[in-house]
Amino acid sequence: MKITMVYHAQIRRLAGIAEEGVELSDGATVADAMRRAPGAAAAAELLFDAEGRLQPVILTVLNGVPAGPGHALRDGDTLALFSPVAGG
Amino acid sequence: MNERPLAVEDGLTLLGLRDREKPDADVVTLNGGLPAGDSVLREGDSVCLIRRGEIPDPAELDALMAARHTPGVHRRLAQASVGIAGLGGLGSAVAVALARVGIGRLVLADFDVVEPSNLNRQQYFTDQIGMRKTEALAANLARIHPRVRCETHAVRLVPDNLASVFATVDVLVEAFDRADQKVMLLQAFAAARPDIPIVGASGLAGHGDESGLAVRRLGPNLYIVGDLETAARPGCGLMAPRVGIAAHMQANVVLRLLVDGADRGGRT
Repeated sequence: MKITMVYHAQIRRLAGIAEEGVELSDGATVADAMRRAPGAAAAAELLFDAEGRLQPVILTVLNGVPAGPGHALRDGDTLALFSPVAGG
Repeated sequence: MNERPLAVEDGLTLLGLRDREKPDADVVTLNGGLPAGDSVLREGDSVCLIRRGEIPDPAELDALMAARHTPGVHRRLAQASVGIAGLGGLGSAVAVALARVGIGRLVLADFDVVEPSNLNRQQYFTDQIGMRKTEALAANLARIHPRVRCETHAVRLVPDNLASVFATVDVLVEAFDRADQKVMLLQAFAAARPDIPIVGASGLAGHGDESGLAVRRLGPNLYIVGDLETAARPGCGLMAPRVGIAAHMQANVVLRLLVDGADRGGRT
């Protein structure tokens, strides 16, 4: 299946692109896409900790709805990555 | 007079009107200003008769609001319920803005107390230091608009209690400080209540260019206010002006959603 990855804010800057298409095997999850997409890989220092776990400060938005890293993907999905910053 | 239409006979003067309608009024304004003296009233004049220290009854306040906002908008706001998660610089300012325009009900949640360092941006007073923010803010909002109903929750918000705390809101405002808490709230609430719009914020610290603050719509029910990048950190603290701009942008998105519906969002 093919999905579209969209990058916002700091992640976009590190990825060097605003969005890209990514080919994934059936059954892939949000976390799988984040490990597979070249843009996300370029932003890995922000997305993952030293053990490769997803950082708790990363918001993953699937087709416009916040969704956790274990969420299964489908062909044609759009997965956006956003890293909110502290302050409120 | 006092935002309500009133027919008076030709030749009636300003102070004559006061003596007849509200003789105990000790402040009289004419067309938005303090008059130099008495004068004959003219068609279309706007007069406000005020007794210092007198608190208008809720019906009178409602009439004033309806005249300001138009009756249709006023009715929608008065029937609305808005949740605010976090009552710091963002949340307390959003609450004040929404109370001023007469939102019907505010659900206010924060486990914290007012600390001295909060006062550079948060809507509390020095004599409220040490109070629960829920209690202090509800007291302040009651002074602004007594008709606004406040439901307070002095609890730490976690995925398991979000849906019950904000069970009956029309819109939820995310106003947390920590980035991981923002993500927790956005993901957990969207999972529980995908039908309810969330208005979050990210990137509002310091005193940098305010034109970088914007509303971005990341999904049908997901709005983020801020410049997305400027984090609170040593040397770039949270300050009333920029935090206040972001908070009022959040409050304005809430108004747009309540009055106009969800079809008009920010840029993506």
